Amino acid sequence: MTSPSTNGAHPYGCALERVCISYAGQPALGPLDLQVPTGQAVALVGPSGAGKTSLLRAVAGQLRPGSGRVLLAGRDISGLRRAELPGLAGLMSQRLDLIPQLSVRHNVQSGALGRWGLARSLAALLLPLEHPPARAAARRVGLEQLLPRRVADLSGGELQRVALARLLVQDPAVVLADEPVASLDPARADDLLGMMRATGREGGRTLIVSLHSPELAVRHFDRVIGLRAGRIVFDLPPSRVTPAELQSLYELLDLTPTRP
Amino acid sequence: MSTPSLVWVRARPAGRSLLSLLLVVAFALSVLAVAGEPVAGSGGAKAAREVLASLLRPDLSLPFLRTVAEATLLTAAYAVAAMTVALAVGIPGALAVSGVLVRRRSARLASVSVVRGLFATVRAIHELVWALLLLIILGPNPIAGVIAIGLPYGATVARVLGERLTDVPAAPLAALTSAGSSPWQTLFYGRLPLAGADLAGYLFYRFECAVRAAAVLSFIGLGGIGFQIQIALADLRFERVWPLLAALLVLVVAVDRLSRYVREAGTV
Repeated sequence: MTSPSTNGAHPYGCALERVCISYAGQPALGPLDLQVPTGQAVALVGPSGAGKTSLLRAVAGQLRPGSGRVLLAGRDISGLRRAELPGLAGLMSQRLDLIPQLSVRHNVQSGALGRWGLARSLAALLLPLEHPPARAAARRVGLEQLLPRRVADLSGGELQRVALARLLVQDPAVVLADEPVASLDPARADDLLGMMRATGREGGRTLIVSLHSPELAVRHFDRVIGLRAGRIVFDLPPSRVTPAELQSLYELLDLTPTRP
Repeated sequence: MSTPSLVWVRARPAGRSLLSLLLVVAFALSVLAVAGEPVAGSGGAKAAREVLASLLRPDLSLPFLRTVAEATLLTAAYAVAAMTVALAVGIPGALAVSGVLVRRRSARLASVSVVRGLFATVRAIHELVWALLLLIILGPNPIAGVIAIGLPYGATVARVLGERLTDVPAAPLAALTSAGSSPWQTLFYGRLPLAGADLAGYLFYRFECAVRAAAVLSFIGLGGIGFQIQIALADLRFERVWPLLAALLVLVVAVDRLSRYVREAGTV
């Protein structure tokens, strides 16, 4: 995959400025400031409800912050045209959101829909046409043999890789993934994160991934950010993340109900 | 005698029992009302005996079987033609009724309500009534029959198809949209596959209905099984009715089999 755009040179792949998000009046995130240099791999860790998904969805442009700004390659996300967003940021949600009835090939190809017209999309769906980037992405994640298979017939680990391949075809500058390894066994989790890291490095992509497991965060990422109750508790390189730090992150949550 | 009163006492608090009783009475009265009229004409028993007796000696002569085969093919052809009209009306109709191709919410609501009302009107009129209306306008001819079936079926297809296209999981569609997919692309890469085999099954069920309707609407100039049954009955040649009914059964079962085959094949 080639480097996505001329904006790739911008020093910050994404940045959040005083971002606040709330659901039905309940604050879920922020106010939060964050700058992620282009090409950096960031892990978000923290207990459920810490705001990891909200943060990722805001960066992906799927959730408009109540206040503050989200910048992708230096550009305010609210000022982007619809067609620009898919090249700047892409989110792999926790449910993956694949189309089970379609083949792996068509699911992977659907990452290119933003660049294709209707005629091209239909031809790719109905005719046995080869789309080289889709095959390359499938090969990259080890799915080449499974291209003709229906997604409904795949295992959990294979589904994760289909979603990753689709994202690679979409080719966004910032790759976001929400709990991509939550349903995988440790070996497969390591495998997938390693793959995400490698594909990110190849494309000069910025990577932001939320994880339940701090061990995986420390092992695979350049930077680990601990979130709790919508705030950043720590923001450290992996070498400086201590077990005590992590423990405090999860213990603090237990105290939350007793706080005013 | 104590048991019925006990039932009353126990049932009364429920409040529903009185309603049940009224319904039972109404049902009994309706049966009596029908029974009051002569079930069969004079010599009805004799006719019934004849019809049943003919079951033992159906007309299986070669020339007649040829007629049956031709009639079956004709009925199937009319059903296919009617379904073609239904799809030509129903597919664009489904897109309009569901509003899945319109991005702006206000525009979608406006277009949807107008089109939905239009199709509801067309659907409200049964194909038999459409046939009678078209008989007056076009005279007895096959085209009138095909339109009479195709039009209301198209309106029904529009509604059901439209609902199936709307009632698919939203998250996979949102994922496509965020990858830059337009509403048209989302239709083909998301909505249609997600609605999937279910959709094909429904369309085949409609096809089955069209076969039966095509057999019934013989009076409007549709030849085929219905027309042949009409002739056989008029001539009191009951031994010819049975092979024709068997052919209709075979046709409906064939459509059912085809439907199962397509649905099991999985993707649309």
